[in-house]
Amino acid sequence: MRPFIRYFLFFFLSVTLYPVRSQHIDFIEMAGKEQLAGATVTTVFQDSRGFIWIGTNQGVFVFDGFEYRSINLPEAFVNAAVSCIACDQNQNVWLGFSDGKIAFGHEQGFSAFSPDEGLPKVPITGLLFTADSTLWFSTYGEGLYYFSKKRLYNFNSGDGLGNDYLYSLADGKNGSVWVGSDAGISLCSVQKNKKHIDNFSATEGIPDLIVQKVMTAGEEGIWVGMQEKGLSYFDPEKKSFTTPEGYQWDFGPVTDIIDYGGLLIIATDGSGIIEVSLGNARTVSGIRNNFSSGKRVVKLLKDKEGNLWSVSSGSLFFSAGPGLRYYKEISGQSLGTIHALYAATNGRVYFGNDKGLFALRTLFNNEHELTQLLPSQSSGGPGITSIFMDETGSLWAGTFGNGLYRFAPGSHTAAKVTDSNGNLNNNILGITGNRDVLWFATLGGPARCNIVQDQNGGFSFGNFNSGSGPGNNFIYTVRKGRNGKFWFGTDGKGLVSYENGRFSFPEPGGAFPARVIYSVDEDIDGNIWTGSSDEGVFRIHKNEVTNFSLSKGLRTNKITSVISAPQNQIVVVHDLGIDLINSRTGQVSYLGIKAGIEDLNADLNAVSADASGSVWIGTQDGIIQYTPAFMNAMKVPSTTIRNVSVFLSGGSAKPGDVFPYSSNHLSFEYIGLWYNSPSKVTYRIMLEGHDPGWVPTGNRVAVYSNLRPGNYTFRVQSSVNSDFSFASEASFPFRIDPPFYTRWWFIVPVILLIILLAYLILRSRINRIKREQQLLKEKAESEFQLLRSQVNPHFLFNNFSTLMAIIEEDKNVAIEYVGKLSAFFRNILEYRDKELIPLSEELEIAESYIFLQKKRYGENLRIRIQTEEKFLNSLIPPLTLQLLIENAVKHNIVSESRPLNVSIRSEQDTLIVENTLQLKKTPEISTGMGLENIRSRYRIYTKREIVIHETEKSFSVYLPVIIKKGEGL
Amino acid sequence: MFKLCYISLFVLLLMVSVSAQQPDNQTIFSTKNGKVTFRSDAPLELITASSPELRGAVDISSRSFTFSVTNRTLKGFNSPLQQEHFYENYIEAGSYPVSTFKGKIIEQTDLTIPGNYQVRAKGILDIHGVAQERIIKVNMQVKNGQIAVTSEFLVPLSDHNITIPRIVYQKIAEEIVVTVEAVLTGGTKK
Repeated sequence: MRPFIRYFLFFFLSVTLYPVRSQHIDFIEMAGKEQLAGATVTTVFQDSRGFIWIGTNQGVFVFDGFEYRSINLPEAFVNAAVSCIACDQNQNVWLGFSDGKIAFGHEQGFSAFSPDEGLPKVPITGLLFTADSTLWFSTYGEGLYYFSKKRLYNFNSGDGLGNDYLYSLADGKNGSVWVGSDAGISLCSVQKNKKHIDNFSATEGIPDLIVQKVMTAGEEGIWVGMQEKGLSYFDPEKKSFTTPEGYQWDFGPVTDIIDYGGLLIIATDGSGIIEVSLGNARTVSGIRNNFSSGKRVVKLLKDKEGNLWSVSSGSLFFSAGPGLRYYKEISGQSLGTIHALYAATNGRVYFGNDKGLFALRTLFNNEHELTQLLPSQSSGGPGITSIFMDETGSLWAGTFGNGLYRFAPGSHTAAKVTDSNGNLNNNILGITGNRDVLWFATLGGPARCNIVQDQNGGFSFGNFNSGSGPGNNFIYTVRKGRNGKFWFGTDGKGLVSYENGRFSFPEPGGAFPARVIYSVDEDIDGNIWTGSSDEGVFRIHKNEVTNFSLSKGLRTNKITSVISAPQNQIVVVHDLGIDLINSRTGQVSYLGIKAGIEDLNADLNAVSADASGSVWIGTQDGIIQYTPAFMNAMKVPSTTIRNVSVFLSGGSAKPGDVFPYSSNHLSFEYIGLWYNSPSKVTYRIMLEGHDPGWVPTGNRVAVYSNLRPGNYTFRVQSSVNSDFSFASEASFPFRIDPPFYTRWWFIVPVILLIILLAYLILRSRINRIKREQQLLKEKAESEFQLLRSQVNPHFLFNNFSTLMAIIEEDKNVAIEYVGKLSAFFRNILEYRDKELIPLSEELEIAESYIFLQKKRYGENLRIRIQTEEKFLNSLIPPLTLQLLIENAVKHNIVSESRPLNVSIRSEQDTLIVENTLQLKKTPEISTGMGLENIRSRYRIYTKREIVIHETEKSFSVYLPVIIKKGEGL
Repeated sequence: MFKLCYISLFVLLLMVSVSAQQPDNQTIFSTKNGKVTFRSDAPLELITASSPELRGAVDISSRSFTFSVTNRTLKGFNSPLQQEHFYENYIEAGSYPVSTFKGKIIEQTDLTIPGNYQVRAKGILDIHGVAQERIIKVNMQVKNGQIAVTSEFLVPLSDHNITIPRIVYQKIAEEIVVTVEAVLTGGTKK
């Protein structure tokens, strides 16, 4: 087989140095005067729960990814400018102000910090808590203070501090702190109640005495940011400053330093943000200048996700940090869609786009060297679909329809490689290889060639098409595995491996779960990861296949590329953006929208990992450089319960609180802080003791009311996708007390009270019934007595005697007398059963009785009746008057010389029966029952007692007038 | 006692000699009859005592100061026995005859200008032979060539190793309120 080899030379070469400004950290303005009620941002801080605190010249705001909440400060702080913020071990936030005041508190409220010793009258420039919970603060003019055991102490020049004007403060080791001042740096500590100060400045070789920023660097020393000379490193062991060399610092005063591990981000007053890449032994390997958040940057913050915040020109800026860089345009020309990309070990990134094939090299300073290797398609160049550099240094570029190009080591001259035997298809989608052989993924099956050129300087290709190969001719990708294995992604046979001359399928039975595999890569643990066209990502671990798809948290199942990255991450590229899988735990996350990654529409396998820990991703709009070490991209949202409020009570509750049954309306405000893409965070909540399971929700408030008494725990988890197995959780236990009316201390007394009441009622009823029975008996007795008295034989005998006398005198009067007598007896019979009769009727009875008695006693008995008209309808027990008149006649002398006067008259509400008292010498036999009967009969009908009034000359009975119901007097 | 008095006198003299280098300025203000009062407000007993013999000097150019009081000049106890206990058992005036506070004013206040100032005096408070660094708020009224100084601060007994027998714990407060009133006059005009 004599391959025909044709060299096709391009004499087309251009090397250009382009100032590339596009690959810096892209800041966006998050909060300015508009969001912060006209306030100017002075500082920014992230508390231990993850909230971003924004200090301004008019108080402080809290940012949760959604809104800027203005925090209420005590009156004295309302218009004070916040100069620094810190957080203690109890999650209290401390604010230092530029007028020397200090406040501490939390979202719900702040208090003034007011030690007995008073507070500085100069700006607070730094606040921090050392591990022993001691509060330290530096001032501009009064040196350093620390607050320990409720007492404030001061370090100033009088104690040996280099200078009282301190710019910044940093934590040293073992309870000590570093300060930077106009006289270099000082290490301050308190040992056995004695102050220790070590000043380091010119003697130790500091390049510039004015130190505006000190920052603890790892375990050993500190970084020092100076007024004029930039950056220096101080080693406390050697007591010497080392200033990184190899560059000229002309960026002005350093205001802040952030360490990203090998990369320092430096804020400057005048030159924006400077990025200094550090090589071994803290030598500078690169420096970049970044103005995207303004020129005068006063404060930087690296949050827990690795995002970088900056404060500049009174506004707050946000970026994803140095972990994501964008190469969108070079010298005003956009890179456009990247079709193929390869990060070579020589530090260059080769990429093919519509404009040709390029080599990109990052230079020390803020510039990139861009070399064009092949022209654009419009000027006759090929469309590049794959790039690879073999171990000899030859660069290979596969094209779509135009075969293969090779650049000899170090050469910028392309030679087209063709194979007359037709073993190499012209559509080359992937290239890989080892020291000896190259493999090609083509639309004509896998092809292979030896790297060693033959005698004619050509290459011989072998092809493994349908017959001898994996059974499918459309090969999308090829990757080198371990132990001489090669992996192929096919368009119908899934994943295929090649080893020792044989193609095989990773799973017994020869059927990979996905038919179409676009990409494949091996991680550092030897797991194989593949991206399928439609079914997500598969991990093959010792013939065990695991699928990662929508249900595991991927945003789509249509995977463009997968590639293994440092920090156990698998970068999954698809049209919606970039998802990340932790290759060990299986946790899925993604690079957020705030980071600027959306709608990539990337070409297949335009991804490559370089030797320095970055993954390069070609998109439809240039290149993304992702460096996992500079981000904390797998960090899950930190879930925190922000506030628990009881309806209408205003205040906020604490975990473990007990609520009364009546204030049983609780609302839980929670959030999963994820500044990458706050709106993508979803939640699931559960109220243990109430909900049977997790309830998914997008809300950040949960309200519960009318909970039954008992113990509850509110739990909430947040996640960036549907998988909550890695979610962080916050919980809030509480108790609802049973209502008072179900408590034993209420029920028992109430039951006792009811029993007591029932007993009292029963007893009073029994008493009343007894009394009524008594009265009834008395009434019966009185009736009997009355009857007996009326049929008194004497009465009858007297009447008959009188009658006899009258009959002889006057027959007519006798008839009248007998009539009255019989009327009287009829009345007795008639009324004796009645309880009450009108007074008028009673008077009639009395009159007939009086008539009878008059006939006997004549003028000796004088009876006067004077009752007012209105009393005639009042009621009276029958025969009362008759009885009283009878008594009067019975007991008193009635004679001509001593006539008996009886008067019946009414007076107010009383009926008075009065007679002159002239008792007979021999008293009549009296049972005394008459009056007593009257008395007891009255008791049935009225509460008023009858009154008996006896003087020497008169005897009166006062009868209360009983009034008919419904009728007044 | 004589030794300490001598030292404080020496300090005063030193200040005088320092200020002498600035002949045109009257920089040292001093007093020999300031009033210092202490008050122990315990649950069972209120004890106050004061001394009219507070000596003190402030150098307004360097903002340094020194104040001292001879402990045995404190008078006004509830009983002679109590006074004796105070001198012998608590303050131990035999061993530690003088209490002093000396240091420097933190604020960069220009005390040559008449006015009312609240400043913080940072210094070493030496009572009962135990020196403690303290920051004490002081009101200074500069008027008619005089500086009127008033201050009130707490001195915890435990700070200065003054131990109270358990039996009188209810009668002596753990923290003593000290008030100072003094009018310092310029006396070094040259």
